[in-house]
Formats: sequence, C-alpha cells, structure tokens
Amino acid sequence: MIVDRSHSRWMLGCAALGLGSTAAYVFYALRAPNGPSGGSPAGLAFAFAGAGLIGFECLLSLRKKYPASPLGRVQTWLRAHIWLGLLSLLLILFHAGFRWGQGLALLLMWLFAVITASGVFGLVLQRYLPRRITELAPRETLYDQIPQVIRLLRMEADERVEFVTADLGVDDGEPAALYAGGKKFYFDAAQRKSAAEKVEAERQKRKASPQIAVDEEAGRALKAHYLQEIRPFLALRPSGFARRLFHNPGAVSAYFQYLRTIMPVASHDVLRDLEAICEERRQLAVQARLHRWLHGWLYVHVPLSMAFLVLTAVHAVLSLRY
Amino acid sequence: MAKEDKPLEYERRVLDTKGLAQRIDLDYQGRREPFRDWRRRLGWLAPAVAAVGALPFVLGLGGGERVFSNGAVSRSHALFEDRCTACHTEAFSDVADAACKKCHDGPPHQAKAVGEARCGECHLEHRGAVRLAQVDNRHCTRCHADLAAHARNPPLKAARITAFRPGRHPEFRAASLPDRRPLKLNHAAHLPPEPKTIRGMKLPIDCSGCHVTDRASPQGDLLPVTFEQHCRSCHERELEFDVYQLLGASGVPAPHTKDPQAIHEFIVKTYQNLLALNPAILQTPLGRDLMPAANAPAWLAAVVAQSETFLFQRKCQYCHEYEEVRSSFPVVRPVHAIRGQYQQERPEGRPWMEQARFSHRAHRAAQCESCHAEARSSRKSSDVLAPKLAGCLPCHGVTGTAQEACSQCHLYHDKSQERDKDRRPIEQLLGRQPR
Repeated sequence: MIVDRSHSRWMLGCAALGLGSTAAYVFYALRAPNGPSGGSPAGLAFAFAGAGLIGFECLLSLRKKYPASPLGRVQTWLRAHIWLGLLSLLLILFHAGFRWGQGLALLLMWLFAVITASGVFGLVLQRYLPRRITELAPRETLYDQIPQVIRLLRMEADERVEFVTADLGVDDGEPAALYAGGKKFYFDAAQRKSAAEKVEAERQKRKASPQIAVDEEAGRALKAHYLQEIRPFLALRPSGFARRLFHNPGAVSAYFQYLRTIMPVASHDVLRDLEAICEERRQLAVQARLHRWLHGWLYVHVPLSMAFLVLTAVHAVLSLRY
Repeated sequence: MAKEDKPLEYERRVLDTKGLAQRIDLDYQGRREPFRDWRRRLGWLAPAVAAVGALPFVLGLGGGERVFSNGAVSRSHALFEDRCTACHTEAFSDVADAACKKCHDGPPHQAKAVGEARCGECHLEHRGAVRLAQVDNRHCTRCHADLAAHARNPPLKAARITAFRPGRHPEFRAASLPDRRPLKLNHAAHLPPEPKTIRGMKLPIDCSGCHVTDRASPQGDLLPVTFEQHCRSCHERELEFDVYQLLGASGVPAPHTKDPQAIHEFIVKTYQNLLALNPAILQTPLGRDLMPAANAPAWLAAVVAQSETFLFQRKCQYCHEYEEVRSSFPVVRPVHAIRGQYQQERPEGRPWMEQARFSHRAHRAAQCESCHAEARSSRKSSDVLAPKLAGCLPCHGVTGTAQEACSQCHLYHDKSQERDKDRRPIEQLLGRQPR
C-alpha cells in the first residue's frame, strides 16, 4: 500500500480525531489532581476507544481472508488500518498518561511500540521497494511462480547446452514439458505428430548427438563450465559460490564474455542464451530477496498483533478487576 | 542427406508475452508457500503462547497477579506488593475505605467539612516510592478555593485559598500574635550591629547560644530557653542581693526560684553565717547610716530587709513581672518553660502554628536570620519574630515541585484524634498461615 492522495480523507479525519483527543487529554491532565491515570474515568475512556480501534485493526486479517466480502474494499480497510492504527497509539499513550508502567502494562506498551514501528517500517518499504524491484529485476514474475520459473529456466538451459554437448546426464525427474523452453510452440503444424511426440523426438535426437558441431575439447569445456558453475546457479537454492559468481549483471556479462573467448563461434548463440537465462535467474533472486524484505515485517507485525490482542484483553479484565 | 539425419536447427531464445504467460503454473494458488505458511502459523502460535503464558498470572499462582500492577506501591505498603487482595477487596470496584481503615484510623479532617473524599481519591497508589500523605494541592483547593460552598460557617479569613502566594493564602497567624510571655527580653540588645564585650560576654551572641535544637525531636524543635542554661552565664548578677557589699568575694547570688520565701531564707542564712564568722561586722556602717546596729538581730533585720528590697524591687524586675505583692513578698507571674505560645491558663502552652507543621530540622541549612529577619531590630518581648509568608516564598514559592505542596505544612487528618487500630499477628499481616 502506497500512501498517496487517496489517503487524504483518512489522514485528515484521523488527524482531526487526534487533535480532538489531544485537547481532551490536555484538559483532563491539567485538571486531574493526581495527574493522568489509566484508571480514571477519562483514562478508561481513552482505553476503551484505543482498544476498540485495536480490535478493528486486527479484523483486517479476517477481511483479507474473505476478499469477496461486501464489507468495503480491502484497500479501504488497509487505509483505515494505517491511520486508525496510528490514532490508537495516541489514545493508548493518553490512557497510560505517557507512562510505560510495569509488568503486563510495560510488556503491552513495548509490544504496541514494536507493532507500530514494524507497521510504519512496512509502510515505508511498500512505498519504495516495489519501484526498486521493477528497476533491479525487469524480468520479475509472480513471487509464487519463482520456483516454477527457475525450474523451467534450468530445463531450458539444459536443452540449449545439449545442442553442443549432447546428453548432459542430468535429469530433473520429469519429462520435458510442452512449455519447457522457447521451442515448444514452434512446431510444424503440417506434421501429423502431436506436439508432445515432436518435442520428445527432438529431445531424444538432441541427447543422442551434438546438433551444433564444435570440436570435442570445446564441447567438454562447455559441459564442465555448465555443470560446475552455471547449472548450480540455476538451482532453487544456489550455492554461495554460484551466487557470488553471478552476483550482479556485470559479473554475469564478464563470465560469458570469457566463455565466448574460449569457445568456438558456432556455440556463441547458445552462450548468449545461457547468459540471458543466468541474468533472468539473477533477477529472480533479487526479486525474491526484496520480496522477503517487502513482506518480512509481517512476520513481526501480525503475530505480535495477535498476541497483543490476547494480552490486552487480559490486561483490561484484570485491571478492572483490581 | 535424409531429413532425419539433418541436425536440429538451433533457434535463439525469444521471450514474447505468450511465452512468458505459458510459463505460469495456473495451479499456484492452491499450492502451499512456506513464506506465507509460516506467517499464518506464527499468527496462531504467538497469541496461543501469550494466552498460555498469561494463565499462571491470571490464576495468581505464586503471587503472579503482581504483573498486572500498574506500578510499584509506596514504601509504606511494600509489604502488600504481591498481595493485591489485601487492598483490592472487592472485584471491579475502587479500593474501599474499609480496606484502608483496617490499618489506618484516618481521623476526619474537619468537623465543619461537608462530605469526605474517598481515601483513594487523594492517596493514589501504584506511583512508586512516593509519600502517600503528600497529595496534590488540587485535592485541598477543591474545597479551600471556595470554602463557603464546602463547609459550614467557614472562617472568613481563610475562605479562599488557592495557592501558597500572598493574596491567595492568608498570612501566618503567628506573625500577627503578640508574645504574652511575662518576661522582658530585648533581642536587639543581644544582637548589636557592632561587636562589643559586656561583662566578659562577647556580643552579638549566636542565635544557637540560646535557641538550642532538641536532638530528641524529629522535627528539630527548639528547647525552651531557661535561665539556668542560657541566661545565667551573663545575667547572674541580676540575682545578687548584697546591697551593702558585706559578703565580698564570698558572696553567692540568690537562688533563681519562684518561691520568695526560699529566697528570704537563703538571704537570712547567708547573713547569719557572715555574722557568726565575723561578729565585728556589727560595727560596720550600713550604707549612709553611720550608726552601728544596736544588736545582732537588729543588724540582721536591717540588712535582710534592705537586701530583699534591692533584689525584689530592682533586680527581679529586670526580667520578670509581678502579679501582686503578698506579705511583703512579690508574686512573680509564672513563666512556663514551653516551646510555643504562652498562655497563662495553659502551662503546656500552645503551638505557634496550630494549623500547620514546621520542621526546624528540615531548615537547618538556612541561617536563622534568613527567616527570622526582624530579630536584630526587635526590642520588645512581645515580638514573636515568626517569619511571614513572604519569607517562605524564596524556597516554597513557584517551584513547580513538592516544595509548594499544601501537605508540606498541613496535614489533612487530625492526627491528635488518631488511635491505634487492632494489632494483628505478623503472619496475618503478611497473609500467611501462622506457624
């Protein structure tokens, strides 16, 4: 969620409520002989208002779980979540009289501070990281599709290298899918064979013998480079060495520039395609990393919010009890 | 070459929109995604841990309910720190006065007050190690700012008190009262501006030369000034009665006593002893009377009469006042050895500040004259020399601290009416089973 003009109504509404609450707090704090206290009628009023907003904040998870719910758009709920959440912090500080208390009250104040800080941190990340992902990873895909795309990239790379080296002796444990590689849809429609049969036939032929003629030494060199350095980088979780080898676009480009100097010209098309595949894999790694930053704060925000809700209920009941 | 023998044509990688779209696994939404799964799991785990973790505290196992306290209790209640129910006897309501009165008498404030506040309204607990008796001024001004509305027949002088400032707090009554002590005292004579020596005593004398702190008093009250301890060293001469200077160096002053008969007997005995030691003294002229006495009794009677006249009419009245003269002996108005205000009918006296407390000990760092500014110029014994309100303001004025709290000087409860409550075994106070 990006804070833009569409938030202005919520922002102004909450600012007005915040100012009103601040005025009420100042009036009450100046008149209270013992100073502001959570147990005073005004302190309890702030507590109930703050707790009500916190309860509403936690309903966002439920609303997201039922996207087709008629209770307003999720975007509207998110805007309310952001601004009412900040307002609830103010109300809880007024309830506590800006004291952090001790025991459970202290724990709750810390939890609330961490929850709010993580929420604000997430909001800032959501403002900047999506743009950054687009800049750094133009080949980005859906985050959930990244493992699938990586697998396909690896299969495609295998196929393309086999044009030079024949069978690589690697198997991902499944037959080449129809969508495995750039060739799959460019079959001859005039032929009576099914697309799958044609692909399988081509695969068998490719594995049987090199389709691009290079000398044996060059073929072995490409195979060695591919299996030891390039293919490990195309794994779902690349090794540290592979990640370092292709850690930025310059490194990828330099690596394949070197390969092109030692390999015959006939294999350069394959190398250029491998370079594109590695660059795409690298961008997916960048996307995955930034995605984890973009959503990682929720690991703190959501569980702590739920724990906070439970402990707030305990605090409310037992504070009123005593 | 047969078609089957021709090598496969290598086609360069082309990623068009269709190719990209067909890479997508359309069933991905149904698949589990570890990153999201863990978030969901933690979303359940954290509140469950919180609920289970809070359970022993909610059940109060091992004094666990202490974690729900909003702050440490005051030092005087530290004994009950982990026993909430010692004070919070009723659930979901304020601490009842009865819970406080189990230990505290809490005598009423003023018989004239209309409606008494709940204990907890003024004495707010869970504020850490604070003095519970030190309450905010607003608790006092709630009524005292408009006493007419909150009391029956309030004293007009103090009908509106809003702060410790001139015009908002009445002047100290003690400062306007005369000291009716029947004793002549001139502070200025004891505190001359220039140093000088009279009868071997260096003046000005230090305040503490006469006004000595009572070490046994928690408030550092001053001991009553007595002739024996504080005046005799300089003023012993006021007890001399030897008007004809017959006794010479062996002469001792008369005793400082309220009983004139005892003084008379002392004088008679002194001269009898002199006569016994030196019978020839009968021949010594007495003053301007050149005729010697006819006999010893006549001599003795004349000498005693003149000495008593000298002592009672000139010397004693240097400091004392007489009520009457009875059987030729004066009756000195009694001077009670008291600290406070003199009242003839109350030998125990009355405190100068009846509505307030003052601690000399708390002010021991300050020079006496900083507050008792008029001591050097006071020539009348009726001057009380108690500081005025303005004298307190440099320290107790607008400080924004507890220094300007009403409770610094005033106690709400009339402690003189406080009685000991029922005493209980220690175990009961601690909430434990007796051993």
